[in-house]
Amino acid sequence: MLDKKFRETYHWTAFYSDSTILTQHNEDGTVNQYPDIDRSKLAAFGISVVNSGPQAEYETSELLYRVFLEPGQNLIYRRRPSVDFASSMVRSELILIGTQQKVKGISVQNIAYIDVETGLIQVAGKWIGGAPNLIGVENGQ
Amino acid sequence: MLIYEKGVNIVMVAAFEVKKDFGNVDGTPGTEQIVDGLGPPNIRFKTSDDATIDSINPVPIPPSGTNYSFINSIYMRCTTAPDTQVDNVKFYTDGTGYGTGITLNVGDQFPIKTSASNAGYDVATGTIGTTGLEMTVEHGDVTSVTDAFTFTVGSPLTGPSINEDSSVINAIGETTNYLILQAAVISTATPGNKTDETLTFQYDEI
Repeated sequence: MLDKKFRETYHWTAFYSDSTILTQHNEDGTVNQYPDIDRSKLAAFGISVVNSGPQAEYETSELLYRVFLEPGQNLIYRRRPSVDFASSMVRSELILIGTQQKVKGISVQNIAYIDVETGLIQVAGKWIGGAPNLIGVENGQ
Repeated sequence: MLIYEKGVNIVMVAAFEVKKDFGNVDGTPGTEQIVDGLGPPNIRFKTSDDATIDSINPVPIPPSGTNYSFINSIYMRCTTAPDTQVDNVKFYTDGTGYGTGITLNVGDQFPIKTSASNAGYDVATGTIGTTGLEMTVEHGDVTSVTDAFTFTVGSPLTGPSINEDSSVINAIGETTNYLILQAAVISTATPGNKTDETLTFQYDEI
C-alpha cells in the first residue's frame, strides 16, 4: 500500500510563457487548485517530487517530468489511485500527464504514465489495450 | 530545483473509506459500516443482512435453479478532501472469480447515495439461510447486472457514479453512489469458504 504522506510529495507546477510559474502550493502554505491554471499562457506543465530527510532543515522540490505544450494542444493531467476494498488504502497510483489535440478532426493524445510507487515513466497514446495498468483516458481538459 | 522551509511544501491528496450500508428500511440504512476493520475478508456474501464476518448463513448450493446472497450496498466516502476534485470512479476485480457455479454480479446501475441522501438504499431481503432476492427484483433502481469478474484493471466498470454537486467529490463526507454486489450460486458449485478475492475502486483526482 502507498503511504498518503509519500503520495503527497508529488505535486504540479505550471510554467507560463511570460516566465512566471504557478505551483500547486505556495510558500505560505496555501494551495492553488488545478482550475487556477491560466491556460491562455500555459507553456509547460511539470510534476515534481519533494525530497527531505528526517533531519533536513529544508525540503527540495525536484522536477520529475515536464511536458511542453504547442499551440492547439490541451493539457491532460490526472492522478489515478486504486483503492483496495479490504483496507481503504491506495494500493497503486498512476499520474497521467500529457497533451491532446485535434489533427484532421481526430483526437490525438500523448500521455506519460508515472508510477508513483516505482517512479517508472511510460509514454503512450490513448490506450486501447496491452499493458494492464495503462487505461484509455479522457480528452484533455 | 526549488528549496523550501520544511513543512511548507505540502499538498493534500484525497483519502476514502470503503463502506457498506445495511439494516433498517429502504432510504434509511441502519448502519454505515466501514469495512476495512472487519476482516479479512472484509465483505461476505451471505444470506442475511449484516456486515459480520462469520460462517453463519452461507449461500446453500441449490439442487437446481439459483440461490443468491443478500445484496451488498458498497460505496466510497471521502475522509480527506482533494485539493480540487475527484471524479471518474471505476471498479475492477482481479478477474479470477470464485470458481465453478458461483458468479459475483454487480449492478449496472448505481442507486443514489450522497452526503445528504440515502435515496437509493434498499434494505437487503430474502429468506435468511436460503437465498436473497435477486438484485434486479430486490432493487428498483437496478435493472441489469454483469459478472463482476469481467471487470479488470485493463477493462474496469465505469462507476459507481457520483451524485454530489457537479458530479464530483470535493469535500469530506461526500460519497459515490452505491455499487451493488450479489453472489449467485448454482448446483455445480462446490461447498466451503472460497478464497478471498480482491476488489478495487479507482478514481481520477486533480
